Amino acid sequence: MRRVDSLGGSDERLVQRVRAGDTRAFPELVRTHDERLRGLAYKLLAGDHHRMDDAMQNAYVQAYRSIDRFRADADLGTWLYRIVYNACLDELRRAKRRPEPVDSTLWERPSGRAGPERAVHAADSVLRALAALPDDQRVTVVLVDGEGFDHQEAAEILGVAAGTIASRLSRARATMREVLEHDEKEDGR
Amino acid sequence: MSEDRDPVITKALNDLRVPDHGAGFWERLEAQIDPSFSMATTGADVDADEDGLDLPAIVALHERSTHPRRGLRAMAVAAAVVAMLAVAATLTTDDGRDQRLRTAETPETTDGSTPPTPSGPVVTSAPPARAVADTPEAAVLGWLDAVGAGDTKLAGDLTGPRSVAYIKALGANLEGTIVEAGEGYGGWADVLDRSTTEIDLTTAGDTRESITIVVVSGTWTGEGPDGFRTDAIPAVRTAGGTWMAEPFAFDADQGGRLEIVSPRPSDGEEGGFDGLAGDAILEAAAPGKGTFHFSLDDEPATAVPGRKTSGQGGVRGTYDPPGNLRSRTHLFVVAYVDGATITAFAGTFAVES
Repeated sequence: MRRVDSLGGSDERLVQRVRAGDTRAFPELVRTHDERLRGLAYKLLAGDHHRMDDAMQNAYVQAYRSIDRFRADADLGTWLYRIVYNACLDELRRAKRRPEPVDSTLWERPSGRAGPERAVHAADSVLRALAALPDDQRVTVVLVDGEGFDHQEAAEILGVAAGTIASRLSRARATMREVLEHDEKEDGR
Repeated sequence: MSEDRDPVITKALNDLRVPDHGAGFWERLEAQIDPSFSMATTGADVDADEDGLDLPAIVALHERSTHPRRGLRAMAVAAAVVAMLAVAATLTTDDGRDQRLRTAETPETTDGSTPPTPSGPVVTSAPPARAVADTPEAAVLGWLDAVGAGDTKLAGDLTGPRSVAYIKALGANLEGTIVEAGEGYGGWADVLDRSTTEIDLTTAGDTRESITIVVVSGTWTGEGPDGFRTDAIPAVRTAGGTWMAEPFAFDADQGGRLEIVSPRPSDGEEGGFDGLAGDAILEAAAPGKGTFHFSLDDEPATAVPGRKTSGQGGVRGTYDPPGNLRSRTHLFVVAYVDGATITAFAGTFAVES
């Protein structure tokens, strides 16, 4: 995986404090990377902020327990990124085991909006578009279009062939564009 | 960096405003990495590169989305599990609440089978003692207090085999699950006016084994909205006559989903329900093909076989309370039993005049 951030002197000192048993240093350590990691989790989990918090809570606890295994020459941001990413995939796997609601009205589109609400609605559209994707397509489009990984890197992360990335990406983009364009037309009415 | 980024999708994703963490996120994290907490979870070895966390999905439709901070009261409850055989021990929490538990020598099963005997050399040392409960209430309250105190050993002793099987089926471990359960259940250890009611399903219908739903009520003061709260936790009697809590007695594929259809969940109030007319019915839905049990205002439960729903792959159960309901707040309990699955929910609704 590409390097997301570099381990600066501040991070290094915080890691040492955590390893020395200073538990207060750990939240301080992860807060410096939290915004980027939150963005990843939020998109992977289709804008469900409760699940985002659950996944990130699990990820950070896991990181804390594994801090002794973090190599000094490695990149902290990349290491945390990997843990958060895995925690989100676990969250998606767990969700698959849950049955669908009996009377599902999830993602029912709200009525048309205008004016200042348009910006809010644009975010709704993106989240609705992400939620409309199967998990494997959503993860792919978030990694490539959202996070900037190339096909080969995304293929390595997901453990699939590069050709699979291309086909998932194609379908994901088509679905997302359809949802975004549909919502835009609705807003224009 | 990828050169093959779709500009429209990329812009949409980049422009997305990401919300901050919910209230209490950092406090929960600090609580989880507290040294005393870590001691209770020693052995939960994790690897950042492994696929799969050791925390399962514990799901009910009406689970609280807030995360009450775990009560990390390390004293008292942990001290109750002592290496004595068949000696009564009193668990005393720091607010003076007692539950009578015993310690026993061997694991107990709910199906009457004998636990497997390991082959090889005879071990002469005594097997590890485990806590046992003589009543459904003792099992459930002992479990809640242990979860609240972060005592994974005691909570594990009181966790029934169905829940353990579900946790294993998800590839998780019991200790990690109990730690996770502290978020939703641990706050009960701090509720001062906590009270319980037992709903016996055995006498209510076709249930062939002893299942009791323990309904816990009281004024919640943990993180999240304060106020009256109620939870329903199943307990199952073992072949040896003792009781174990079954908070996660779910089917590995279906989970523990139970949807309350009537009264309707309220849009505005988390965990609340819309009011009903006096002649209204209660209705619930669940996956599978099991039996619902309805209890209203602590009355004995009524068993209602689930009826298939068209095209939805689940069943519904409808309960028509006898007579008209009076104009006041009513406590209702719905339990759903389907093979190894036991799911229960308790809530309140108002009947308006």
